[in-house]
Amino acid sequence: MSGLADIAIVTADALAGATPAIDALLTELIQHVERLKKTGESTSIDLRALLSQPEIEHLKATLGQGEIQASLQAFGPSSINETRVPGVWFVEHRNAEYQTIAELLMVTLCPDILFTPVENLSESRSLLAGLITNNEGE
Amino acid sequence: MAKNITLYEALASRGITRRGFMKFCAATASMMALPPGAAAAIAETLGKTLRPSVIWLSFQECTGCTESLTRADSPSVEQLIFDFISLDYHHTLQAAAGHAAEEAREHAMTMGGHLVLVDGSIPTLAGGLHSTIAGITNLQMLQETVENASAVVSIGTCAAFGGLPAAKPNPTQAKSVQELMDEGLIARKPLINVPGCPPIPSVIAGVLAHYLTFGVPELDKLGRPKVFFGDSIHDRCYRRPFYDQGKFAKTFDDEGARKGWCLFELGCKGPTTFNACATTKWNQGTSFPIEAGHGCIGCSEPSFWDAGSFYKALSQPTEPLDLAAGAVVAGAAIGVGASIANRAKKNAAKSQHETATLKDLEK
Amino acid sequence: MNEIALLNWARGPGLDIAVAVFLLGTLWRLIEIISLGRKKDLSAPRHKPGASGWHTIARRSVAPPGMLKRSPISYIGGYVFHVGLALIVFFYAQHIKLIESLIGLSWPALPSQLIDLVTVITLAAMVLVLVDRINKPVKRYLSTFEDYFTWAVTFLPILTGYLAVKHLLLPYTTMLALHILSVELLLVVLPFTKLFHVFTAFMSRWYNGNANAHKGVSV
Repeated sequence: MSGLADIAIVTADALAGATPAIDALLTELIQHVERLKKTGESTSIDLRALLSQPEIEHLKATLGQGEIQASLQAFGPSSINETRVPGVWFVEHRNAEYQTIAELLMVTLCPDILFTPVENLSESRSLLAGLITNNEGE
Repeated sequence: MAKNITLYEALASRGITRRGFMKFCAATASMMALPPGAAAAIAETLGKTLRPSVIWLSFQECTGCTESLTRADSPSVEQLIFDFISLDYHHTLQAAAGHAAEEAREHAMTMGGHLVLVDGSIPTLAGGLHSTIAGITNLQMLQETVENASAVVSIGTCAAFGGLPAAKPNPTQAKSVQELMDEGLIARKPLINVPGCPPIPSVIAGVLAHYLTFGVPELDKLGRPKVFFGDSIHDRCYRRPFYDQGKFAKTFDDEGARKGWCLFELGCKGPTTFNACATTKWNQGTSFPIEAGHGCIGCSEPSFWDAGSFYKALSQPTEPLDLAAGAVVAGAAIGVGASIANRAKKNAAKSQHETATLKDLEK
Repeated sequence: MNEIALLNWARGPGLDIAVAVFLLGTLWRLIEIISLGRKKDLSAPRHKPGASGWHTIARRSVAPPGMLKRSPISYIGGYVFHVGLALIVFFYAQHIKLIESLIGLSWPALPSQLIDLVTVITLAAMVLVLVDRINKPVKRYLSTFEDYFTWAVTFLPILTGYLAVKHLLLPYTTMLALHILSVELLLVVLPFTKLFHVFTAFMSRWYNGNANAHKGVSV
């Protein structure tokens, strides 16, 4: 055996490409975007519950990369990227071991997780206070 | 870890931030097969819920179910769920032994409202003395632990359906938790069956997370949570198109096997097995048995050990036809007997035959 | 009993019992029928070309002149469902698997799409034949409970088998169990009803042909 390619097993990759499931999802996205425009209501879709891994890869490539690429370090790394479709975000959460724990497609103006948690603001005051160099009395 | 803290506080004490907690809730929703929108509700509930006391009882089992959980790499979502609960008793994992261990169980039990996790089936022959722990039978231990519990979760096929110990000829008269409840041998409590040999770790954790956040999940007829056991392996199998096209592997090394065709004829029990393997997968989402080229053995179904060889197609008999030879002999004997009787009848009729004369005809 | 236990019973003890009853009944009746014998015909045989048991077997496999037009459903429908049934039973891959595991013999299967098509046609032909039996006054008059019963026990295995393979109506586990159970019912009743023609049809044709040939009549 010289490599993995020699193992004659065809995996799900062989079935990748545009599938009916992807088309159905894209059709669904149109409705979610419409709703976001009309009512401001956001939607999240758990991709792993709907699509196979090759399908997710295909969808990711299809939707492409938009203007914002954010990364988050909390309980492992996460990437939060706007796709080239405005209002459609691709969010991938990984744990500290870099294993994917959730892959979401969000139709929103901005994913909630990017907002600073209000709970953390109480910390901010003391942090900032600690940053002020004491130059009183000069 | 103190008992009167919430999950959020427990995670915060491990240095996990609010965003990390939100992410954890998103992953938990995904693990529970809930829509992502549920993450907010999970966050709110887990932010308020106190750590529940959990007693894990192991009876006639192989520890594979515990292995399944503890082999998950840390810090997985599964393990955080387990960090959250207060696992007050688990033979295999706890440091304490002997009296100290039993005291921990008794203490947790007297408080009441605890969650009982069971792996392994319970022997009932001869009062259940085929399996004892700390001088009492498994049945007694289950009886007293379940008495004041809030709910019971059967982890693995043995606890859920009897599993291997209950396979024919079931020498210890092993029973599942469900059967004991149905027979009134233990108190009836809300029961969730999480079968599998072993169950998928994230399914165990997902069920616990669901219980902690939204209570007992919706169950199927066999007491299994529908979110994980609602679809058959076959219905979610990526090889399903080959079944529909009638393309089957005939041996494990033929052209069909190499092309990844359907394994039905090689004994795959996917069509009759309900579990989340095809979607959740194993080893942190790497693959599941059919992806590795082996059929499903049907481990999350009742009496799967008695369904014949793992390599026999579902259309094949589970056991040799023992009665056939006897039936052939009996059939032949009855046939010969009947023909002898028929011949005797014929001969009797013949012997009573009288010759008709012209006179008789003129009468 | 849950579905899987029902399926296990059907694939195990149920099949064992059904096959045993089938073998017992078949041997019993075959031996009894054959051993009955017939009185020897002492008259001098007449010879006529085309008159023999074998000729009759062949001749009765085709419709007599004019009958195809008078009773198309009986002939065409009957042919279609008999051939269809044979194809489904002996050339569906899963059935060959079963036969192989029972007696060790196997042969190539037909593509399952073809079997699907044959199944639909067979079911349709059987329904047509039944409707015809009910609609035609003479046929209806001649029909007894046994005719309807044997129709049902033949129809059910095909129907449940199709539904199981196509995952329709009921969960596959239940449908497969029902399919196997319906076949077991068929096996049990076969030796004791008119379905026994599976074994006796050609035998009786030969006997009748032979007896008539002795008299110089080709039927």
